Amino acid sequence: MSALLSGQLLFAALVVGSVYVIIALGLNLVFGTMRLLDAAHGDVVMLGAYTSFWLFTLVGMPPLLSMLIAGGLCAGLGVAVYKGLFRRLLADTRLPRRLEGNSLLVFFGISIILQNFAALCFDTTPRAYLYLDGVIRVGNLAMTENRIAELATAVILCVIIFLFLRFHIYGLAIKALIQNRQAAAVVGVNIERIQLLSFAIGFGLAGIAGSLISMTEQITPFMGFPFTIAAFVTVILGGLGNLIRGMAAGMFLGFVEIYGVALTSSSLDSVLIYGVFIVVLYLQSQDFLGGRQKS
Amino acid sequence: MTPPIPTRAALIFVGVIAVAALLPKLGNEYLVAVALSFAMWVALAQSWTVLCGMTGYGSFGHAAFYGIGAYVQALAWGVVSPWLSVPLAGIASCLFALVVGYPALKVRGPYFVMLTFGLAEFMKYSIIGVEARLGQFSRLIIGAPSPNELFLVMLGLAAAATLITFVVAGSRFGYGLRAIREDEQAAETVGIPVARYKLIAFGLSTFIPGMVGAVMAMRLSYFEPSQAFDPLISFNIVLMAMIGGSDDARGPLLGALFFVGLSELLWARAPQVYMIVLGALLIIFVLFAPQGLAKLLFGKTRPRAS
Amino acid sequence: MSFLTIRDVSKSFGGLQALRNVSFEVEPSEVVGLMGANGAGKTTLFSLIAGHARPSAGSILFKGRAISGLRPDQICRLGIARTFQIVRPFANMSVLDNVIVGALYGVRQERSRAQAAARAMAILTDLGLAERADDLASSLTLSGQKRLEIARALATAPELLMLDEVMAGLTATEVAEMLAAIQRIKDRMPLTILVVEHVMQALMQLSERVIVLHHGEMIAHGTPREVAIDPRVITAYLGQPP
Repeated sequence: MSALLSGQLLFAALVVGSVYVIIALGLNLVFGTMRLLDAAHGDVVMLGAYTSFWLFTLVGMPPLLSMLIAGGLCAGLGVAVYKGLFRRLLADTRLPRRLEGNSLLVFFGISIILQNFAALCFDTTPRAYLYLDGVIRVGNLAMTENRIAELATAVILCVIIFLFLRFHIYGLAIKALIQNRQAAAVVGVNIERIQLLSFAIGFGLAGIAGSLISMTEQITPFMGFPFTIAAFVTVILGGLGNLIRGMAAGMFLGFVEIYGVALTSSSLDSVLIYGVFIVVLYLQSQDFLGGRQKS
Repeated sequence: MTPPIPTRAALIFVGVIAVAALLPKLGNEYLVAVALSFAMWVALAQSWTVLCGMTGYGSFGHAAFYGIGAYVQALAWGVVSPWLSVPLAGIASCLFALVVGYPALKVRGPYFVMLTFGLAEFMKYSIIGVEARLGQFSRLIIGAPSPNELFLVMLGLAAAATLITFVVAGSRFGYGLRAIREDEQAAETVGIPVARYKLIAFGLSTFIPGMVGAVMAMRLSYFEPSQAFDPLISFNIVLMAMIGGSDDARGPLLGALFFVGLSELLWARAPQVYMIVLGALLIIFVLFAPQGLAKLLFGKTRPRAS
Repeated sequence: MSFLTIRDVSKSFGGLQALRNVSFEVEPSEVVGLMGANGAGKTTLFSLIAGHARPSAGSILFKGRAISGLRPDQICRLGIARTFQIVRPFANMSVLDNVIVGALYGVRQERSRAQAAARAMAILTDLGLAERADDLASSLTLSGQKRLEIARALATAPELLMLDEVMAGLTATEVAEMLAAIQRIKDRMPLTILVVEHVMQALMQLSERVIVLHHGEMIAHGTPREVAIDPRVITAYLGQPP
């Protein structure tokens, strides 16, 4: 019994964790390059989920295809948000620390707008659809095909992003910007363009994650929030801008959630996530996670 | 050090309260309901300003203190008289704040914002869990005082909160808080006991919200955790502070007025549009008028030496 | 018992040793200069005295009382004030309010705003900032902000004033103005001053005694003249024996 449980749970944790990794990767791009606190990130995930849902329901497009469209649309949203709102904020601020605080509020406003816009357009009934719902059994382990696809896609995406950041010139530029903004400018990185790219990729990844999630979870306009929290926990645990550690942290969070819920009860799911959230935030300020805040 | 009280403002203040106290006599239930709502938001926003506006430690989780107050009231109903349970609710909130604030206030800037938000949600889900364990999904308050009576109490709370903020803003303590907002380390260097002051401000900012929660629990006649700890409460407070301004007692008044007006116009008819407008307002004010309407309308006027 | 005693003070940050066995004493009403290349440990020493950090070893005594381990606000109330190497005014408060804060929370702990304001104005006049009293602190020039920091520090009614590179970034004229202002302050009240400076000419002019730090160690101390011709100092600065 416990063997079955741990195999099943392991698979579940991997799936949940891999999705967290993708979402957190997107957040890390926005957060890491520009120190903007994207409180709307989970809501972009929600938009991606709705995109895939409607494309499947209306034209029968499989989510593994529509995720590209979801990613593209969300990337476009990212570009719009950057050009419309944040370019001004990034250029204008006198004190960099006010930027973080202001960005949090602005993104929170965006989050409210996205949630309620979705509620207005799609109403609040939870949506779901069935796709790839066959089950594959390996020994005692039962895995639904859609979850396997989710995991596989997330892993492939991770590899692509990793390679991009490692070998492509824009990827390197992004990493440079995360490490040291001024130095990056001095060596000729086009800050403006890289920031735009970070926004686009960051939002795009969230959209794709939403598509993946839509295969297995219910979709509501307000589903995004827990993902935002999870993404922040992951990014902070992994260290700002540290992408490898961020991946590990995402996986870790997935495991904590699945095993934590299994050990206690499903209603403690939120208590756990927020508990980890506040502990992580506190530890971060106390230097444990390598992030001693300057005043 | 108490601030000089401008006589004209004091007279207006007392006058408004006196008139408001007579409102129930008009017999218009709707009017009393709106006025109660306004008084509630004034009380909450003024209290919030004492900590957040003045020190810059923007709490995004004040719903937690409102909720704790409501919970205490729900638990104490029928056991003790409201005259006792309401102040008790305030004390409970305050104690919680002091305990939690000690580590929490070591976290700076936007991380404090996120921390307080997380804390409020954590409290919410914890209490939902506890209540579920106890077999309760909501608690009823039967035989609560009338809306008119509750309105008068809320009016009192609003007046008290406004007074507290006014006194703090113009006092020596207020100078200290503002210095903390500007530069915490430099403030410490000139002799301000930073950690202690932050904690005092935090406690002060949660006492009245606890009582507000208790009063509202009676007003609604029931307590339900996800409602009492609704993050929207925190969001609304922050929004009012952004719109109205949060450096002294005038801002929250303007913010609450604006907010209640908007809410009466839109909320019942088109709740999603209403929320979208709120979100847009937050963005607009953060980007274009971060110090709120108070700054726009009144400019900078603080008492001067000469 | 001397006014300020630094005894065998060392400080390391992880692997980096910022100060090693530094010992010296400061007598009341003295002006002591602290000299050394970047990274020599001067600002670290200030941080230790002001209470922003604790020494890894050694002790710091002020008026006979051990102060390492006290909080910065407690140390201020004992009578030690400092300025910062990179100015840190209360940017969105007025110039006058900046100084009033010092008066309210310093040694005297003024309770009356009117009295605090009066004292603040007097100090601002001494430092040539009286006309800018109602302007925002952020609107001052660098020279003005540096003088504002000194004014704020003075408002706390200190007995020991620590000036951290107040001349940095100032033009020659502004340096002269600053020197004159400090002289005025010295004449007006009994103050012991510890000065960290890079601008050699200003340091030598101000100090009665100079202490030289190099890589966290004290390599020389004496009158400005003595230190200027000390072979160890010359080696440290010019890199070759005379």
